Amino acid sequence: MSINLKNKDVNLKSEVFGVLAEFESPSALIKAAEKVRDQGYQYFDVFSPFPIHGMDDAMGLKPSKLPWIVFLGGAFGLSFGFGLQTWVSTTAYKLVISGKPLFSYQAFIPVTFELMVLFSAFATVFGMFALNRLPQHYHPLFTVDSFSKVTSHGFFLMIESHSDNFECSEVQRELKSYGAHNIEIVKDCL
Amino acid sequence: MSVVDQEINRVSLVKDNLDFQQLTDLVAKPSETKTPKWWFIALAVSLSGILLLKSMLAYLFWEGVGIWGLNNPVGWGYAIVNFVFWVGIGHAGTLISAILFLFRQDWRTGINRFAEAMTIFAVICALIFPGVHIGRQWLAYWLFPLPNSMAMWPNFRSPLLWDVFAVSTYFTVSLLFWYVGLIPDLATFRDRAKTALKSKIYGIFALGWRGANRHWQHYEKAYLLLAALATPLVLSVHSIVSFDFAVSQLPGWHTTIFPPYFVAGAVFSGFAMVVTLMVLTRELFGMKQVMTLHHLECMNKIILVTGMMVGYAYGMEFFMAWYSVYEYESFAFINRATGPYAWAYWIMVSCNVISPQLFWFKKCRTSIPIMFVVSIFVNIGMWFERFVITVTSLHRDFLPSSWDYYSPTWVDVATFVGSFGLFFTLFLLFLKFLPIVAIAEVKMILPQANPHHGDNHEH
Amino acid sequence: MSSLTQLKQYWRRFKSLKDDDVKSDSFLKKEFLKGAAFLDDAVSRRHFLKIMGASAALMGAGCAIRKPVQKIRPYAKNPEYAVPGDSLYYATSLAIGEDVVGLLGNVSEGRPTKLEGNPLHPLSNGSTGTFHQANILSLYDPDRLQYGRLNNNRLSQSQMTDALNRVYRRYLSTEGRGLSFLLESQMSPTVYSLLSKLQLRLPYAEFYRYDPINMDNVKHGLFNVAGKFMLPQFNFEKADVVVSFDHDFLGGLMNHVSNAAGFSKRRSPEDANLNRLYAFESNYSATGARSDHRFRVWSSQIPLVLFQLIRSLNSYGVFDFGPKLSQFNLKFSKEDVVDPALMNEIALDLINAKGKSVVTAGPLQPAIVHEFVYFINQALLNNNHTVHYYEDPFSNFLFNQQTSVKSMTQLVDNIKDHQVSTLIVLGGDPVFNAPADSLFKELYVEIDETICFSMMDTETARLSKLVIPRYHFLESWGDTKSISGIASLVQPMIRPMHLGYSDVGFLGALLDDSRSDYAHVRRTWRLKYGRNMFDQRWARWLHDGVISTVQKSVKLSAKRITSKMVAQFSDLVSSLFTLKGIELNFFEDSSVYDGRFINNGWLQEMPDPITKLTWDNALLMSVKTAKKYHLKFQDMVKLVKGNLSLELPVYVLPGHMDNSVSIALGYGQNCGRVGSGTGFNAYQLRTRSDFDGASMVSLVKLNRTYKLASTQDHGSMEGRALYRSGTISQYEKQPTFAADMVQTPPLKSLYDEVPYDTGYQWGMVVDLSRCDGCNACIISCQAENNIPIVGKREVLNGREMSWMRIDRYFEGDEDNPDIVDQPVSCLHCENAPCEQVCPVAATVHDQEGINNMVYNRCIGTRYCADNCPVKVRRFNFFDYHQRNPQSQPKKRKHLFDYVREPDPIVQRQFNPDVTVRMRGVMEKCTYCIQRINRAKINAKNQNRLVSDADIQVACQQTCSADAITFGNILDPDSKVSKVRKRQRNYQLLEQLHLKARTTYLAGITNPNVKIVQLTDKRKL
Repeated sequence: MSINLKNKDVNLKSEVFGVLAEFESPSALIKAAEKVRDQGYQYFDVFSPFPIHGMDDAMGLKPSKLPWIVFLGGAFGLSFGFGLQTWVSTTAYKLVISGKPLFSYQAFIPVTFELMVLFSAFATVFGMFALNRLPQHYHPLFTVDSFSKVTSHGFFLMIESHSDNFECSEVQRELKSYGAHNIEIVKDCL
Repeated sequence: MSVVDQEINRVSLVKDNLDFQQLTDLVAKPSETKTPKWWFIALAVSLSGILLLKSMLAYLFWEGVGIWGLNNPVGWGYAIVNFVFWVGIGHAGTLISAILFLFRQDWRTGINRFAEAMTIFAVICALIFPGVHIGRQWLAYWLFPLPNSMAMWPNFRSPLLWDVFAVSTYFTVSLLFWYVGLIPDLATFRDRAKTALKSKIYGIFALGWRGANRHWQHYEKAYLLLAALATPLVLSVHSIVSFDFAVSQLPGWHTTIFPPYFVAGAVFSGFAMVVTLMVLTRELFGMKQVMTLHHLECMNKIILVTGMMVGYAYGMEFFMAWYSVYEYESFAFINRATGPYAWAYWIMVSCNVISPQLFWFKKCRTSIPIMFVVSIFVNIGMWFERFVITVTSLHRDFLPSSWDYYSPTWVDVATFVGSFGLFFTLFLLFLKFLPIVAIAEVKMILPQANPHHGDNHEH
Repeated sequence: MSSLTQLKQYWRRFKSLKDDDVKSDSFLKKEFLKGAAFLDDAVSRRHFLKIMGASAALMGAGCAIRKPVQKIRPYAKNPEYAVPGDSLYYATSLAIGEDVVGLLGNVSEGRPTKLEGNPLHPLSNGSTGTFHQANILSLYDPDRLQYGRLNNNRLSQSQMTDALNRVYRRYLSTEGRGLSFLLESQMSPTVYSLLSKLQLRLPYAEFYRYDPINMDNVKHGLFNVAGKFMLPQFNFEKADVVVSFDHDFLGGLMNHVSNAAGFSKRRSPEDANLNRLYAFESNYSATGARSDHRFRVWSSQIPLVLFQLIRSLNSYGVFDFGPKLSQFNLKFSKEDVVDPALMNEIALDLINAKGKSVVTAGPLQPAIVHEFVYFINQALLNNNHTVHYYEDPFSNFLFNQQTSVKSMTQLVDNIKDHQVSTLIVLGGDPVFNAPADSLFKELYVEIDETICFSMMDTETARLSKLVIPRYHFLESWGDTKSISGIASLVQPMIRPMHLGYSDVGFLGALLDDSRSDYAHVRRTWRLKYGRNMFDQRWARWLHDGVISTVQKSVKLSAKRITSKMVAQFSDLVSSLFTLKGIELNFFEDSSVYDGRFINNGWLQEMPDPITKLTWDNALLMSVKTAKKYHLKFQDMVKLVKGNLSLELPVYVLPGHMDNSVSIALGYGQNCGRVGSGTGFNAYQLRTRSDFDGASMVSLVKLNRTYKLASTQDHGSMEGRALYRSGTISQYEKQPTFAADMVQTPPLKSLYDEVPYDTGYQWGMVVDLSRCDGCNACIISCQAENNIPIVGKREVLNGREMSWMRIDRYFEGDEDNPDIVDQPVSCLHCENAPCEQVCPVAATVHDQEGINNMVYNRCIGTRYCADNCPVKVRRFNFFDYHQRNPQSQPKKRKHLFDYVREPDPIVQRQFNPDVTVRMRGVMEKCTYCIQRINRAKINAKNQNRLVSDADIQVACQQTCSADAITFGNILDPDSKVSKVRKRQRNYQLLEQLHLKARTTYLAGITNPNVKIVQLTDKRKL
């Protein structure tokens, strides 16, 4: 993705999307995150090759809502599974099998369980995608060359321009003071 | 989420303390450097295996299952044996990723990707057999509860149907689990890509991952939940596979010990297969620093444990047969150990119970050649376990009048061999084109990944 | 009985064709008014059958392959009595050798699809044997001769007629000099009347008769006694004690149906006092298997054993014959064959049952033996009570008064001195089955003109100059008369499918007689019964299938033994001690009889009742003998007898006499696509000198083996209570012993079970005490349910398809074990284990407690078969109908449908009421659901409930021993519900809580307590 964007003509109308700062280490990043949080920028994010322990608190993120989505998925799977079997065996396709009653729930448990797991799994994965707005093949960050490090050994922090009292130069200065060694202005090229 | 507790002093899981970049380079190497010759040779061999499999299946579809060695008492043979064998192998991956994850076994990070991949390929091989072993393969879809104009529905009381749901669920969930784990690493490959095509392809599958912490938050939650779901699933799948036998009436099948016994066996065979493959891969791809001897040793310990469980089950079966005072039951087991198929039984016992005992000794646990040989033995033994359970129970059941002997035909054997072709083809492609180690996860357990890493030095 | 009236019309209609005798009949004219609708329409019966046959064959084809290739043709005129889908029944009768039974042909849409016994025929009583059941397949055998052949050129019907006429005219001039006929035994009055006409016109023509399996010895024995050619018939129903000297009256074909019926009536304790059977034999026969005491003796020593019995009887002063016992100058070896103490007990038993016992000897025993058996029966007052003698109605013909061997010898001699310029072989396959030393084959080809009248392309046919196809009896007019004098008609049920003649037609054509077969047969009986009311009688005969059921036995006055007999007997017995080596016995095969059924797939694949062998015969020998010669199952051996030898595989049969071996006759022919290359030709060892009775041979072990396809590898019951049996005293002490044999924990289900307490609830009971394992049920099931044959290789793979099997177990020591037979087909368990494991619900229960198999839903996981405790489910590993050697390339290809289809001729045999299963589908016994439904529909139309009278399942219907009972177990009046309550009733594997609908009545034996004690003492 980012490669294509690099080739794009950067002179077309583009506005500042945010300020990106690179840091040395996870610890540096986490400290910076705390400061930024205290500064009250609501639209900022940190980027790292792996999740950093404690970063959520440092950024002051609320716990994920994903578990609830999964619960719903599981609940649906369970009731769907049991319902399907009950309906099929007692209503849709009534057959006397091995002298068992039509509603032989004992035999329905395994399939019910499997369907519950299946639907919870779907809920988990696609719920996660939804919350993360993935797939998202275009993002202004991909225009920044140095950002490609992020999936290997780069630690970044970005404050987005639509945060309240965002002032580009001010933000750059602050970030420098947090120990960022390389600061870039991210432009949205679309 | 998961983190190395510095309090407990563990063997470092990554050798010669690589930094983040070196680690990335290491894992990315196989896919970026020139492909070695052996890979192409191996692929050629595996592809011919697939060809064999395909032609055997074509022959099967045309002629009918009569081309197999099945007969009247023995309605299930190689196909089912292979199915259970492959599904069993397919248990290691999820077990490592899920259960060890929940138990905070950080050493798993070095090998879980690898094991999960193996799981998925094994389950793919497994899924072939139930589909084709039926008499009218073109009607296999009747196994699924699909609304149809004939208003026909499957019979939800049948263990075989439970099996269909269990295995397909297991496959789907494992696949999702694997893919979710892959996303950050695919992004890594995307960002390292030298060619436009490569970065496009990896990019598509990376879904535009950019390592944002707001993503990591949901991502880790998702991973945890998947692990939590996969754990009961992995246990249920082989339990349900064992129901195929346990829910029947047949002496030798109709046994309550089967679910735990099968699960243990599955883990047993799965780990053996992982060791077999890992020993090779770490040599061939120079992954020694990530897939350390420590990893292998841990695996061998699990092999030892599960091996003992399986051994216990073998013994218990005989005890129950005697304890039940049920002549048919007793006969079934005496027949196993002394009947026409005694050879299979004793191969099973020596491979599964005796050979793992070597792992009591650290020397053997940590010796590559020994563990390689043992793991192969275990694979063989576990195949024979399924053979013994399926065939010996069937060939002599209640009425002596219907007793018969089952021997496979060349088609049976060729089909089984062919399934290995499929397995290794997929595996080789995986080795070449995907990150065989979970880069992000391994980085997490590096000392410098700890935010307080710096602090220690200050004190 | 609606079909009765139909039949009447049916047959009257036929007379519209008929010429002379009808016109005179004024009575008929007004009768016809009723049937005026079709009095003078042009559709003749034959023509109607032609259209019917053709179109119905296509319907049959419709069942056989999913896409019928041929075009369907509608009726031009729909005959009003023929309701499409309803089958019509026509009576006929069949003679094989000298055995005659009456049959009912089930004709569906114009093609006979099944044969049942004719309840009105005393020798059948509604049941049949295996050969009668399987005969329907021979009708549709595509390998039959389909056109005449003159030096390998095809002949049309008219050409054949000309050819035969020419022969006749040529010999008219010489009054038949040089013309010879070789017949096989004929039981048709019309044929004999034509033969006598031939003898009249061609007085110098020679007639010979040859039957490889025959009753000659019995006849001649009785002739020596009474001066009449007679055969005995036994009234087992009245017999308390039966002693069989090497006579397999339950296994052999001759009178099997009536014997089994009578014998079994005395085997279930609830119905009558049990009889007791003593058997002396070398080979293990079905009779031996049913016996209460079986004694292994060389069959060559039977005379000696007989003498022992005579001695014992005599010692009790019963057997007093003219000469004194001392006159027997027997050079006895010191020890007797049978322990004299035991023989005394047998004698006592017989004496106590004076007038209520039967002593009989096998047809292979020399005539002299039968003479003395006669006298024993006379001494025991059995004659005219339990043993009736009937004069052979055709014994006035000289060729019937000679033994086959003698007749054959004369023929051969005449050929040698060139007195035979034309030989007409009227049926049979002498080239194949003539005695080896008669050199008939070699001489046959030297005859200038050989004419073979045969249904199959036998070896004789292949060596003959002129070959004339013979109609199957279902295609031809004719009649039969049993030895006991029961006359019945043979009426065609389908238009002849190929060129050729019926037996009657052949002789007619030969006599240059233009009359139709029908006319000939009518003529025979009109001459006998006169014109008066003849047509009414005729219609009745056709409908009933029997002309007269009067069996007039010869009332014989007491006869005396002549010293000539004594001398003969003494010589014979004395000669026994000079015998050296191994005794060889031939016996009639349960599958191919004398070889004539070699190309019948059903019979070929039918497991032999004793050995369970299919597709082959083998050399049977005892365990000891096998050990002695270091032989095991399937080892090839060379049997040497003088300059003759035969190589064949060994079958080790526990209970066979030591130092004695037996071979079944009839195998090893090259005839037909099914029969060729099966088995080994025992006739190669059969010589005139020891044509019947034993001969001495030597054994050479070859280091080769030969695969024998047995359907049951394991003969031991492993001490499991599967076949449950007890002695009569045990039964009287504890009638429920069978059910008590197995202790089961209280059988509870996790689920609340379906009650099955309303409507029809079908069930079956098999009386193990009655069953003699004759296999008729298996073939009947095969015919009824379109069950394919799988071929030898698939039997070896353990994939035989028959829905019904008879489990054969050995009990006791391997030298002389008991054999028990247990018929097993689907038990229709209420808690059927097969059902719950089927993922697609292809096998489910209906409200009437039947475990249904839904073929078109089945995807073939075979899980049900794995979970079936009795393994009665059969899987179509291939499409066996298409793999049949008689199948042909398919005209239209279809995926998963291969490239072959059953021969259209074979397709006509299929029962249109039963699905023909494709490959990959499971199948099993359905309790003949098609019959059940037909019965229910009929009952409903007459708005009543189904009763026993309405329904008989195929296996039950054919069972002459009446061992199988089927019906509604809820109906208190039904036989099955009563039988089920019998205390012998038990369930197979009841510990599995199957609640099987098919239950078993324990087998009850009636051993002689004294003998048991004696033998026990000996053992100690």
